[in-house]
Amino acid sequence: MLVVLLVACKKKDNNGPITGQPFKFISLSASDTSIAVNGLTTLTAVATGDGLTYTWSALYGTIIGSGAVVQYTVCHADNFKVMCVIKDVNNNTLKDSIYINVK
Amino acid sequence: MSNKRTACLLLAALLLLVSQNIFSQCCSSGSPAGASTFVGLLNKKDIRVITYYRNNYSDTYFSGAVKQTDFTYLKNTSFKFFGLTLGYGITKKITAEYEMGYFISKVQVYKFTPNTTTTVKGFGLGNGFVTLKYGAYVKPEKNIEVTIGAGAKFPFSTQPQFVNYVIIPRDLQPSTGVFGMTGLLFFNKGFPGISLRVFSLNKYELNGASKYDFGTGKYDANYSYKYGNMLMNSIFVSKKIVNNFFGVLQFRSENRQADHVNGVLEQNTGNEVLYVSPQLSYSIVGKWHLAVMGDYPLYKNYTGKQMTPKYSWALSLTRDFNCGKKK
Repeated sequence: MLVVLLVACKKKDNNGPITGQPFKFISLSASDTSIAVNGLTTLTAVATGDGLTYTWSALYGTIIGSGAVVQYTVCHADNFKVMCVIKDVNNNTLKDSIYINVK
Repeated sequence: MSNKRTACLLLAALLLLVSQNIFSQCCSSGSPAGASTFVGLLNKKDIRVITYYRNNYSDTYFSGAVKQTDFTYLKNTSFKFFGLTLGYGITKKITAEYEMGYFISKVQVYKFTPNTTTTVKGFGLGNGFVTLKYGAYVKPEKNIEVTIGAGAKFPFSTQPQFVNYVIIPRDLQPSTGVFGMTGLLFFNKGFPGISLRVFSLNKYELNGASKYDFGTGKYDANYSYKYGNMLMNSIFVSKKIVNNFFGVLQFRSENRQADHVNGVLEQNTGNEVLYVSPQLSYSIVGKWHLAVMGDYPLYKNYTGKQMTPKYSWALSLTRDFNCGKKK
């Protein structure tokens, strides 16, 4: 099941990896929720639904890449919030956020 | 109708069209230093078009006035910018100016591992400016001009830029997305006997606050990101070298105040930089002016740790259209 869900995490799901599944934001996780200044953490959004787009935003720092899996880095220490908004083919949106502590 | 008059009317129409866009669109913010020494008044009904291309490169961190060699968050940053300035002499003492520009690219290069680099890029329209200049003391017979000016700074969009649905960092945004105001003072003194001109430009930019929260990706009435105000002081010496060739040496200080988020000082913002900017210009029949210039920081003082400019160069082409009465 996990493999199927991860396959579904594409930036623009034109092929519809899990068509017919209800639109659901399953999880937002980080490979490391605590990183050093200049460090990198990988953020993964897992969701089901059709025609998904993943919009990422952060008050500080840089988000590298696009789609369901991105990387995040910041140049100074603090606790930083990163948000992911997922939209499906019917323009329904779901969002989640995660805090990354930078030391 | 002569070709010259047709060209003047077309340019006037363009200026009018651009001016209408100021009111039909909503927003803008900061832009790189211009690349022209043509900052004084125009004759009545004359039109001036300045285009320039600027390339900037940075690869050195500073904390205070000290270079930081152990901080390697970014390998380098750079931008390529195309600017356009249109000026129109409303009367012999009032000149209107419109400035805008486009970031062809704003790039940050990261080096997270020794053998690979990662590039993040922004691009798009920078801020626009409209300025009215008034000749407070203009004495052509004494080769003296004192001009004051005031204007508005505006964004073409208050929305930050997303690339592939990912917000790009604030430093790479082409526009601040906020409105602002500008004030300027220009002083010019010419010494025709020795083909020398000394002039100064003092400019202050007052920046507004953005209500767009990058953290939530939406507007929030209770949120405020206030960009620091900027004071720029320049002094120029221009000397004719040989026929149609002019050399210009500019010293420019830029003082940017720190940004504030919800009234709290934002770390790693605010700086003082002193530049020297040599320039060589070539004048063609007194109407076309081609110039090349460089910007080199002589002194840098940055709050916190910040990437600082290393060098910048620009090419500019200026054309004057004398649409008014012949003197």
